[in-house]
Parts: sequence; C-alpha cells; structure tokens
Amino acid sequence: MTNLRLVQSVGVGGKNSPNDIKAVQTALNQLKHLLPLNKPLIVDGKLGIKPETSNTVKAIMLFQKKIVGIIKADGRIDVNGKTHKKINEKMAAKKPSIATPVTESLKTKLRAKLEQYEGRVEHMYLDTKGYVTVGVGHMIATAQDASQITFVINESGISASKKEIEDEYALIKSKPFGSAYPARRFKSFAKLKLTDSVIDTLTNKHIVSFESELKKIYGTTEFNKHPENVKLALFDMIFNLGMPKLKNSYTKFNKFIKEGDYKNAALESNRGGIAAERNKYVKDLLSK
Amino acid sequence: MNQKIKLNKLLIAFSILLSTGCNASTTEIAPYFNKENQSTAFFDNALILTSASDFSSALDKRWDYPVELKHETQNNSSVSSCQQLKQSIKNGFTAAKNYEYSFVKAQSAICSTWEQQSHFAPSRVSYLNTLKLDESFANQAPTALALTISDEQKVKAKTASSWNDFSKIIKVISNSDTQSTYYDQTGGIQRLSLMAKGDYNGDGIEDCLLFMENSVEGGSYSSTEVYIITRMSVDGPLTLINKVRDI
Repeated sequence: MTNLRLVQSVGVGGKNSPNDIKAVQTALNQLKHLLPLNKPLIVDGKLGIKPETSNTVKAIMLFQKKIVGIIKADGRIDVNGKTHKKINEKMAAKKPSIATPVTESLKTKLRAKLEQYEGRVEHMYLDTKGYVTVGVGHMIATAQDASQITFVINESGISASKKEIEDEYALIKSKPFGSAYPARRFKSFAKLKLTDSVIDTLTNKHIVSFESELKKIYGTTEFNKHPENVKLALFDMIFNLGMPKLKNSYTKFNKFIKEGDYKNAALESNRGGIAAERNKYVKDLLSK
Repeated sequence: MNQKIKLNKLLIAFSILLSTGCNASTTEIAPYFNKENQSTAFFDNALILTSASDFSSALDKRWDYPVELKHETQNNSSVSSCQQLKQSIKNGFTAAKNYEYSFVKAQSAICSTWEQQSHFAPSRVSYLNTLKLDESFANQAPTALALTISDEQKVKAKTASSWNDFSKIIKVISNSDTQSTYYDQTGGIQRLSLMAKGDYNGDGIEDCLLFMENSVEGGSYSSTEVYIITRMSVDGPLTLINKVRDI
C-alpha cells in the first residue's frame, strides 16, 4: 500500500466499514516505526463493541498525538481530514524501495563532488589535524603505509623508491600544520606525486570504507534502499563529519533518514562552519 | 608637643597614602604576546611580533602565499595581506575553490587575532595568572568554546554550564605551555592556543585571546574561532567577553 484510501470515516463515532478499517490497520502497521506499537495491528476490519478500547483506535490516537500534533486526539480518521492526510504524507515519505548497492555511476558522481569540496591533491600534505594525507582526503597513517602506495617522481615520472617515499613522508610530517594551511602550501616540499589512476583507486577504497560506516549507522539493507540522491547526501555528510560526529551529533537527522522522512532530514542537515553552498547541496539532494 | 605629635601623625598618614597611591599608579602588567603567532600560515619565516604596534604593522605585510578569492558578480581576486583579505571578505568575496573555504576562514581568523592584539594594552590587575590549558580549564571555560556543528547541538549547548559540561572531553594533550588539544566523546578534536594576554576592553583587568581550531575524527570538517575571555575576580568564573566574528 502506498497511500491510504478511505470511503468513509474510521474510529470513534466513524462509519467503520470493514474494508476501511482494514485499510487503516494496514497503513498504521506500515508506519509503526513512527509509533511505539508493541506489536502490529491485526488486520481484521474490526474495532470491537467498544471502538475506543480497540488497539486500532488506540493506535489512531497515538498517531494523532505524536505525529499530527493533536493534543485532544479524538480517535477518528475522517476522509481527507488532518489525520488522513498526515498518514498519506508519512506513507509517501516511506517509499517502498529496492535495495541497490552503490553503483559505479553513483561513485563517479560522488568522486566529482568530493573533489569539489575536499580537493584532489597529487602530493603529500598535512591535513588540519597534522596527518599526512594525499589524493581526495586519503590519510596515510605511517611512512610504511606511504611506501605501499605507488608514488612517482615529479620530474621524471619514474616510480619512487621506498626510501624516497618514506623520506618525503618524514619531511612533510615535520612541517607546521593547522586550519590555515591548505594542501598547496606543501607542494614546494614534495618531489613525488600520485598518478590519476592511483588517486582514483584510493578514492574508491575510501568510498567503500565510508559506505561500510554508513551501513553501521543506518543498517545495511536499509542504506541500500535509500534513493541515489539520499546516498549522495549521506556520503557528503560522513566524508565531512566522520562517523562519530555523524552518529552522535545528528541524532534527529539520523532518525528522519531511518524513517524515510527526507524532508525533515534536510532541515536537520545543517553543518555550522562550512560553506553555505555545501549545506545547500545536501539539503537539495534530500529535498528531491 | 601636641602639635609635634599631630604633625608626626600627619606625616605618617601622608606616607601611607603616598605609598599606596604610588603602588596603584605604577602597577602595570605588560601585555603578553605568544611568539607562536600563526604567521607561518602566511610566511615561510615566522614573524617576530612582540608589541601591539608590531601586530598593527603585520596586517599590511605582504604574504608569501597569496590567496585566490571569488565573487558572485565580480572577477576573481588575489589577496596577499590581512587588510586585503578583510576588505575582500567585507565586499562579499569568498574562497575561489570550494575546498579552500575553511582555510580562508582560518586565515581570516588569524588576521582577526592580530587585529585584536594590536589593541591590547597593559593591565592593572590580573586574575588569570594561574591560567593553564588543561582539563580543569575546560571545566571552567564558557560553553561558547564547545564545538557545536549541528543545530541540535547548538540548542543543547544553551543549557550547558561549561565547555566540558557540554562536550564531555575525554582526553587533553598538552602540545606546549600555550597550546593543548582537546578530544570530546563525540569525535570532536579542538586545538586551543593562547595567543595573548592584556587589557582588551580598557577596564584595567587582564583578558586573554584564544584561537580555537576545530576538526573531527575521521572527517574533513574544519572551523576556527577566536575568543576573548577574562576573570573579573580571584574566584570569579571565566567569562566570555567576545567571540570574534569575521573581520
């Protein structure tokens, strides 16, 4: 069911035709993640002798209080009334979707956006935390790790030796760093660089790693079910914020994403301190 | 005889008054300027800035590394001094490359600290003598120093009593006497530097200028803030005088 169609009212004082009741029970079960329902409603088309004591009416009232925002919930859904419309709004947000893994096409779009917001640097530099970094934000933990990456000598294009790589790593590591030192400040110290294909390979590995972290936050199957534009938004968030900050400081955002309520997720996606354009990029992706 | 006693008493009283007055008028605490003044962000060789007027001059000094800026309706511009950067930002310019946005903001913040330091005057009294950038500092410092990125964090921070009360700092690493890095429990990493001490607002009480570089664990996020805080009495709380906005 993608939306709730009613012929007549359901609930306390409603017309309560069995088909309409079944439709409401089915719809509320689909939205049970929004309500603290102990178990799904039985879809039997019945409200019992006293509708106000039925689980279905209790669920209607819960929905009215919690989601519609009606303080004095009346336990009745009128055709095209406030409650009916809200149910359909929430059902529309929770689109049934097919789980799709991160496609190559999405990775291409993602790489382009990451380069725009994170930069694409062929030489080693220090990020704002003082970590040796290269490519599109690829952090290299140790000199030994650096020596496992294929660097070439700027002038000749010949592959650099392990010692040359480790020496350059040490040199870059010794330089001052901070929030005001962009990557290009380190270019004059670098004699080695990465080729485009190596940068792309490292970036793809980075994407896979962040995909894994996103699945830890949102669930593997659930993450795959999000539309492509939502996945792009989530990747931007995690590349920028890292897993701990995204998980712990964006609880409302995460809740809305899990509910499929992308509109409200967009409203909670703001990141203070970054360019307005980047915030708008993510908002627009979530608002599509 | 009585007159002599009176005269002696008068002389003693006058001496006490004079000595007190003399101490008050000669007690001056010279401003302190950290030699780690962030000038290597702009110059290959660090600038030696030891007075307010040095900082004033530094604002016009030509950088070794110009910065490219863009504007919605004007041509790109290249700036190579703090004054040029300040003017350009005021005129609506921003980093030419999206990925350099945070760097330009940080450079602007450094320039801002220099501008503030160019106004630092000697103080008459200080309640910041024991100021140390350690864990206890975070317990006393205002919540304004906390890293709040999301809107929900900004709301929560309003009810916190201190920086640590909000951020729940789990580790502090002292990089030097005037710089420490604070790690909070939600992945925030904040590097705090004491840039200067002196009278910022002309009340005679010593204030201090702090430079904060914010980043996160596992992410590229970066932001900078400049704070001026003080203590108004011996046991008084650390108080925020100013959170310096863009220059």
